[in-house]
This record gives sequence, C-alpha cells and structure tokens, in this order.
Amino acid sequence: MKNLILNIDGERVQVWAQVLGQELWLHFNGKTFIQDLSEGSKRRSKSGSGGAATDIVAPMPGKILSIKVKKSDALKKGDLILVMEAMKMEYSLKAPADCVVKEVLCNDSDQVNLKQKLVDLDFEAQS
Amino acid sequence: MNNIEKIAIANRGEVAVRIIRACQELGIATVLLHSEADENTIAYRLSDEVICIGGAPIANSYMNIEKVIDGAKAAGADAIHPGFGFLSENAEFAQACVDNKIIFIGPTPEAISLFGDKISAKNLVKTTECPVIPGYNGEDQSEETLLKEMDKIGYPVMVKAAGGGGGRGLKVAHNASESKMAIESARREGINAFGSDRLFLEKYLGNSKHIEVQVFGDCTGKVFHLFERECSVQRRHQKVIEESLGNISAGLRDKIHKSAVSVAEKAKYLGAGTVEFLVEDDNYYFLEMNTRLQVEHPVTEMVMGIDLVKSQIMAANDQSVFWNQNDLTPHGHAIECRLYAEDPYLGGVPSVGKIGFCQWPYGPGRRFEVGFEEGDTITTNYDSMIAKIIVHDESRPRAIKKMIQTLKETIVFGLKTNIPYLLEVLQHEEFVSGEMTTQFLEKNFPKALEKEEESEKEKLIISALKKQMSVNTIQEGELKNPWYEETK
Repeated sequence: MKNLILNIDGERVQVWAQVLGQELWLHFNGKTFIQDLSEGSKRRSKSGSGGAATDIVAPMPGKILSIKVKKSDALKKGDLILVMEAMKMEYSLKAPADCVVKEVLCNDSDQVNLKQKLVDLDFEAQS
Repeated sequence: MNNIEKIAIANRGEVAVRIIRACQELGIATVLLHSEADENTIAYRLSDEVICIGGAPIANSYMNIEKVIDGAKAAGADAIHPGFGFLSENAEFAQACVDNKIIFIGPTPEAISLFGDKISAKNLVKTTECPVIPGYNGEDQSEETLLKEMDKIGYPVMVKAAGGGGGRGLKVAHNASESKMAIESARREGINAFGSDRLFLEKYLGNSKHIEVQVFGDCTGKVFHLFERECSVQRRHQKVIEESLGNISAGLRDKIHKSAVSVAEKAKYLGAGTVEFLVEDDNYYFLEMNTRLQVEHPVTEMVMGIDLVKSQIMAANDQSVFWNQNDLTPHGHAIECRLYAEDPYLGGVPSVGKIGFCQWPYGPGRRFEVGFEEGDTITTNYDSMIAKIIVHDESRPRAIKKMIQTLKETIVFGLKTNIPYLLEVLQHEEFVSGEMTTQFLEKNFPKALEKEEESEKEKLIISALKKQMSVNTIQEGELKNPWYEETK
C-alpha cells in the first residue's frame, strides 16, 4: 500500500494506492476506485446491465435451492426461474423478458460460482 | 456466587473479538471454539487458547451443539458465551450447557424456548399490558386455513417461520395472489434453516418504525431498561443502520420502556435481552424478544456509558450489576453502520476475497468492531458483515456528520463494501429528518446504486496513478508523478 500526497492546482489530495493482482485500488476524496490494469493487453468481456440478457447467471457464489422451470417452458417477463441462497439470504432469479427455456444447466442443491451460467434462455422463440 | 475463570467463545468475527477483550479486561481466560475456515481472523490471534471444533459449514461447527460442548469441556471452560446468531438462542444448547455443568452466558433454557417460539412469546405478552399485532398462530397449519386466516387479517400479511429470525423464513404477501408463494417460500426457508415448517401469520405494518428496548435482568431478579434503539433502516428485514436513542416522542418512550420491562419481568428474565416493537403513529406493538446480545448493542453502550458484555458475565457470575435505574441517563446520540462485503453497484451481491489493506480512522467518539485485518480472507461460508462502525456525539445531526466523515476515511482494499450505499442513505432527507420507517430503504433505494461518472479531476488522478502503479513498473521510491509531493 502506498500513501501519497498529490498537489493538484494547489489543492492537496491524499491518495492510498495498492495493486492487488491485476487491479489497482485507489482511495481519495472519500471514495474508492478500482482500476483494471490488464485493460489494453487483453479485452475483458463485460456483461454490463445495459446489454441484452440472454441467459441466467449466478449473481453470487451460492447454492441452488429450487428450480422452477424445465426445458421448453415458455416464460413471461418476471416469472420465477429459480431460487438460490448465499450468505444466509435467499435470492429469486426471474425472467428478464418473455422467453423460452433452452436448457437448464444446474440442479437442486448445486454449489455454483459467481457468473456461472444457470439457465439458457431463448428470447427469439415464439411462445 | 459462581467463579468464572475461563470462558469459551462459541462464535466468530467481530463479536468474538468483543467478548475476548471484555474477558481480558476482567482477568478471565478465553478459549475460542472456531471452525477450520476461521484461522485467519483477529479472534483466532487474540484468544488465549483456540480449539478447532469442525469444518467450515455451520452444521459441522458453530451450529453443532455436541462439538461446541466437547470443545468447551476439553479446554476446561467454566462458561460459554454464545455471542449472537448461531447457538445464542438455541434452548437445547443452553440446556446442554446446564447438563454439562457449564454456565451458559445468557438467560435460562426455559426463557429461550419461551421467546424463541413466537407463539408462546405472544401468549406471554398477552398477559401483560403490552400490545401485540393481530395475527394467526393456530395449530392448524393446512394451506387452506392459512389462506383463510390471511384474508381475515387483511393484506399485506407477513408469513413467518415459527423458528425464524434475522430476516430468514419471513415473506410478505401484498395481496391474495401472492399468498400461496409466500407460504411455500417461508416453509422452505424454515425447513432449511430451522428444520421446522411451522408458520405463523401477522398483519404487516407497512409504515412503522422498528424500535427496540434493551432490557437486562440482574441476578437479584431486578429488570433494568437501558432505553431504546431504532433500527428502521432495514433491507430485506436485515438491519443496516441502527441508532440510540430512537426517533420517537418522550411520552411514547416512557410507555414502551414500561411495556418492555413488564414483559421481561413476567418471564423472570436473566441477562441481556431486547424487546422489539413496531411503532406506527402513536401505537406500538410487541414484535419479538431476542434473548441474547444484539449486533447493535454498541449504540446502547455508547449512549448509556455501560458495558453490556461485562454485565452479562457479571450476571452469569451471580454478581449484581453496578446500575441504579434512576441513574441510567442517556447522553447524546450514537449511530452504527454495518459494513457488508458486497457490491453496492450490483444490488448488494456479496464480495469475497482477501483484504489487501484496511484502515479504520480512529478518533473521539469513533468505535470500530472488526473481526478481520489485512491479509485475512472473507469467504462465502458465513454472512457478509465484516465490521461495525459506531459513532457517538452530542446530538443526532452531529453523529450523522461524524459517521459520514468516518465512512469516507474508512478504507478496505481487496473487497467491495457497502460504504457508498451507506453514505447515500445517511444523507437522504428522510433519514436526516428521523422520520424513516422500515419501508425507507425499499422505497428510496429499490435498485442498485448507479455508478457516478468520474470527474475530470478524478480521471486525472486515476490515470496518473495507473501509470505509476502498473504491474512490473512499480518501484519503491521511483514515483515520477508530476503532482507528486511526498511519500509516506
């Protein structure tokens, strides 16, 4: 960890900085910033919330409690797809739009990792 | 009188540290009963002795009565402090302590089962002056009856697992169409978490404050109240920010304190307990009684100038506490923020990993309850609360300002925390006004925080540091930043 005092246009700014793996962690002006240092050398695929959702991925590492759908089910936006549990809380994952279940990729009681694909959905198919 | 010389701590994280320090100050030896996953924690390093009682899953360690008792016996402990969560409100465990001639630091097994079963708790409260919420707690648990009772109570209705707590096994049906799903989900959580599918129903008070009174039963049978806390800032029924005193009128305050004491007296309660209420306008209703130390006990300690953990140990030792109810006067205002390892920009998704660096900005009236330090790893084995930050100042507005400043100076590298979220909440006008209810977060912060675009100045600093700190290019004492002035 490095603790620096910068002088920007006469204003003193104290910065804490640390490189952890491929990330640079910074703290200044009461905020923490995380920067990817591997950027440029390799493109990172970012599944931002703005992109079209095509499948259901685990929002956190945890355990599948109950799967509510099966292959070929036609779903309406907001339909419950599965319930999972992590760190003592239950989370419900719902259909982001009208769609058909292409494939269920997990089982009840499975331990799943962050971002692991759980259910493949088809938004093009007519239901 | 008992003579406790060694206490086994059946817990982890920041509360284990809190208890070990209290014991050390009292000259009592400690043994930490920990899981395999908790060797890299402050409590593990701080305790006089440690015993690994099992694997990371709580059923193999922290929730395993036999292993905890065996560990305490192997270490020759006179008493067990259960902390909160885990076995702290488990009557069977408290009884196992009694059977093995180990002092359980808490109330009697009878008091735990009385209040642990929300139905018997409500029945006891009904014999006092304390008001209760309309609901159904009958033996008939068929779906048909539950649905009928839900219609009778009137929506919204809360469906709770009878053994639940801490937001688990608790669902709200806002209308008849949601009722079946709420029953199914609460039952599932109840079975998974407490091995019981028994449910009870309650009118859901949609616009109420969560006010709780700290009570304490002394070894002479006297029950004290230590004023109240407000925990209206909750998300998914988990508390996020707590304060003492609560934002209620003086008249209501007196009535609630009297009701809380009457409930504890009726149960001949020993040790620290909390009577929770929902307050809507000038009405208040008994919610439940927690028969343990609370996560948020520090705000009471700061305002009242007392030590609840030491008092618990004194009560267990058959010693009277130092207090006199008339001398127990609150001073100023205290606020606690729970620091969760989670990403506030992804709606609170847990963040796990190794802490690369952390800084707790100590100062007057700033208290940090921490269980981990630099180099420790946060895993998904346990809940995501990694620390509690408590501030105390002369007034509520000052305490809020102090908390904001403290959070801005708090640094955790390696894990994302909810600090940005807490800062937004603390500055929200409804929170500042003190008028918030338990709906506050759901209403005002329904979605993940939106990441703000970095300012030009921030971009400048970031890009400069990125160049300097890039992997392979970082060299001690070789910073060539044009704005560079000094290094520490």
